[in-house]
Amino acid sequence: MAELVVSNLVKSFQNGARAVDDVSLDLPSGKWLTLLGPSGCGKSTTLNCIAGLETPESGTIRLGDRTLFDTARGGIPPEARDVGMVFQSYALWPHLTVARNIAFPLELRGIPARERKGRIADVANIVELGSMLERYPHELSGGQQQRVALARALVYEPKILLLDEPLSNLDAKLRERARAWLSALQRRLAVTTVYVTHDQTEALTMSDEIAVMSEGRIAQRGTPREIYGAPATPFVADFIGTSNFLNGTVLSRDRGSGTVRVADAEFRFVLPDGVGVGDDVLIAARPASLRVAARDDSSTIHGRILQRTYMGFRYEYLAEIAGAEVRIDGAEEIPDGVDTISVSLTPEECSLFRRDGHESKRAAR
Amino acid sequence: MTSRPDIHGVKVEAPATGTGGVLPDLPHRRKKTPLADRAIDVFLLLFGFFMVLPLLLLIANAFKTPEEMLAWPPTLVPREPTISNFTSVLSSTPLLRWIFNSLAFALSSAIAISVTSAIAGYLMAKFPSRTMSVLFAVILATAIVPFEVYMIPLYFQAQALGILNSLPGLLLGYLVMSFGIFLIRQNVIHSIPDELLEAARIDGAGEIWIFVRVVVPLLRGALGALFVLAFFQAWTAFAWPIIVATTKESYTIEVGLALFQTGFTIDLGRLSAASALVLVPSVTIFIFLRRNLVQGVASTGLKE
Repeated sequence: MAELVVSNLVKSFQNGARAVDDVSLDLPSGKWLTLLGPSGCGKSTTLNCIAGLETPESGTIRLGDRTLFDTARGGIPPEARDVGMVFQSYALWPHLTVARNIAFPLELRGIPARERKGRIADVANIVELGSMLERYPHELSGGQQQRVALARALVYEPKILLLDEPLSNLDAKLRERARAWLSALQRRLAVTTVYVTHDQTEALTMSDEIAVMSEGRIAQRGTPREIYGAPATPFVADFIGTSNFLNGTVLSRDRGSGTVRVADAEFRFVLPDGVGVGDDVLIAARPASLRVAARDDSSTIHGRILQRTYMGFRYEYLAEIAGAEVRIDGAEEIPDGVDTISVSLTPEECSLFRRDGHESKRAAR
Repeated sequence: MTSRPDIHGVKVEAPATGTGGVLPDLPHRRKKTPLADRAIDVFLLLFGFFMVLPLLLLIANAFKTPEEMLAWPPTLVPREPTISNFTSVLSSTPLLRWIFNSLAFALSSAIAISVTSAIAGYLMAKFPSRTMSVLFAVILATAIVPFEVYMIPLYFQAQALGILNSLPGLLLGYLVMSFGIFLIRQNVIHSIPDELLEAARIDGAGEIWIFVRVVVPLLRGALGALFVLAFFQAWTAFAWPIIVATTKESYTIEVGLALFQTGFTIDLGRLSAASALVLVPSVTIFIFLRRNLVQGVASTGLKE
């Protein structure tokens, strides 16, 4: 197991656009880092650069005390990097049995047949596939295939495990189980893991740390709690969890906090540095931080209900407040025919950003 | 990643067990009357019979006396079966030698074409570059030049190389098949995702190792089909062998059979016997490789 340090990684597409733009990461030994972002954000490219499947233009990648890549000396080949990789499609060789699939990496590394057998049996037990060794990949379920791919990646005890959306091909129920299983396994083996996904739930539930990526850059880096609770940019707030964006104006500022007006209501917010009186701000509010209020007063925002959805244990309302469409959770049903709504807001559960041109576009949707 | 063929198992889910009988009954299907079924059977049987009739007549003729062969109506089962046609054809012509020549020619050609197509097709599918595109276009373009256009220059080349009347001479022009390269290239694109190769590269597999251990096994179906195709292309070749093989000893069977038809007579009895003998190896090979042929053609992606 080893520590991974990536600094100033740059990789361009063929058309010259930056796929990975100055990305730096460090991951302590045995920890789990998730690269999270929408498709095309550069997360898989970053992973492939670490694996050695793609060659970056510049930057350095170090694993433990070894340099896997640096600009001057170039990279060492994938097989010399001691990485185990699980592909999104699992990439199991369909013409080989499970045992032969797992044996492949060992054969290539010249490990004698007798030792191979023991190690295959061990790793098959770890991933709970002991009885499936003589089957072919097409005879296994999606979840089993995924475990074979994991076994193949783990069998030669790599220093780092790279996972590229390994759960995205499983159905919802299986994915939930696989999530818990995979994360327990990683903690047991204490293998340094880089995990790529676009699924925020996977990222939040499994990671020690998350790096949210957007357009080739890291938008925010932190623990799942930090990322969810204190998104650094509107993009992160929008991407992780559902966020409603409301426009506001700072009325007064008093040290770290101030009064912000949203439509016809006023709230007290903790203000970030650099936000002054008269500034336009963007408030990212989780559905749970907006509540349907019983009464109308100066701390509620007026709105109109556009759509109501029964979610089983709660209701979700799509409403228009302060010129923006928002999603609001409600424990109680608002009777049909009532289409105005008063919404209260909990400032402590919201994030506030200074508005610039880019973000106002997002808020205007 | 958008399309993932299920060859590497992505879409394969284990069917839920125990749900056997719960499927609703299929919508009522139009029932055919037994009579209509019978009529279709009879039609298909007749159709099949007429398809194999020429072959049956050929085999029957091989066992007939000259008089019976010319009798009208023709008989399907010889009245006085004789093997004199066979003994005569085997003693008066080097028929076995011709069959051997043809076998050697067809097998060598099929092997060469399979190997060259596999290598070239894989390279063109997985290592795209401008050079490869141009090369591929050129290879495809050669397919539209008829053989007759270049058979004479090719003959002079064979002569210059001193390989007339020999197996290498026959093989000239039968080592590479542009359609084969195309077939394998399409097959690789359709059925071998990059990740299967990258998974091997991560473990340090060299390119040759990947080709031999991963790519070729995955191309089994397509290569089998191509092998059969190439084999019969060479087995039935006529124009080139008759040009390049000028001594009786170096004939292929196709050329040899033509000898029974001279300008004035057709030696029907011996021609039939020889043809019947010739059927043996090709039918045998077809039976062994039939599965590959069907699978290969079905899996080439050309069906769409």
